[in-house]
Amino acid sequence: MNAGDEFTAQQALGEIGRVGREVRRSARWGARYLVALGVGVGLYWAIVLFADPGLSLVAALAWFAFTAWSVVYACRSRVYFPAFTRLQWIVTGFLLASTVFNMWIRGYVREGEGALPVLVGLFGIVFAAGPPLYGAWRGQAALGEDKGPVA
Amino acid sequence: MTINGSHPRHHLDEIIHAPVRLSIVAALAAVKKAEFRFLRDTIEVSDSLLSKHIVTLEEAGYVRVQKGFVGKRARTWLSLTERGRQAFDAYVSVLQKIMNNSGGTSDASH
Repeated sequence: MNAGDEFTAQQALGEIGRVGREVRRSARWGARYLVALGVGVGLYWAIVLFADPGLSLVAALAWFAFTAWSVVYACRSRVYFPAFTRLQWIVTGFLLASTVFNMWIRGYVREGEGALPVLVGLFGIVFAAGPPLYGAWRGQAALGEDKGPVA
Repeated sequence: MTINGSHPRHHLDEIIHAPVRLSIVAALAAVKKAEFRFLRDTIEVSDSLLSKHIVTLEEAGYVRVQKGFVGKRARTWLSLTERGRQAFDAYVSVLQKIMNNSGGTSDASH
């Protein structure tokens, strides 16, 4: 809006819509982060629970690098959206709970025989990866619903 | 022609109804809080112009300014106060009334 000090109601509503869209576009990075988190944590536990034990060290190092990047990303973030701010605590809670659960079942999944340990391991992976992926979807959906006064 | 004050334009919030301040409030209404540079880049104004209008909004009680540091880098965070959100919602309602009264076109220039 390049108007000087005079602008119409239509221009004002148009500017409100434009700025809102521009701001909400920035929220895509929050959703992308949650998708990366979900995929990353799913791969991590898949390796820890099912893959060769030697790969666990690689997975741990990769997870450490991702965590370090997450801290940098959080510090460099220049805007916070209510939708993602609410979700982060829920996602964090599920990540902690899934970490405890997967550490608890790890021995059973690795050393057990039959289908049940495999199913338990798969559940552990979904338990860890599901909440961030769901959070990404819910966060984007919330931003889409909250179009403000003008779409 | 007499002016009886019944037109919705008389209820426009003068604090918000200025181009740059409207953009600031509209941007902050969509977020929990935003950093100064994000706002500057989104609205496309200079640091000094943005600062000037933020002071006006802060003095009106519409915007909260929080300063801090991330490492050695100073950061300034801006957010709408509850009063600011209510004022913005009321402002948008007035705009929509003006649009409805004029049948989609508007003559409510400030």
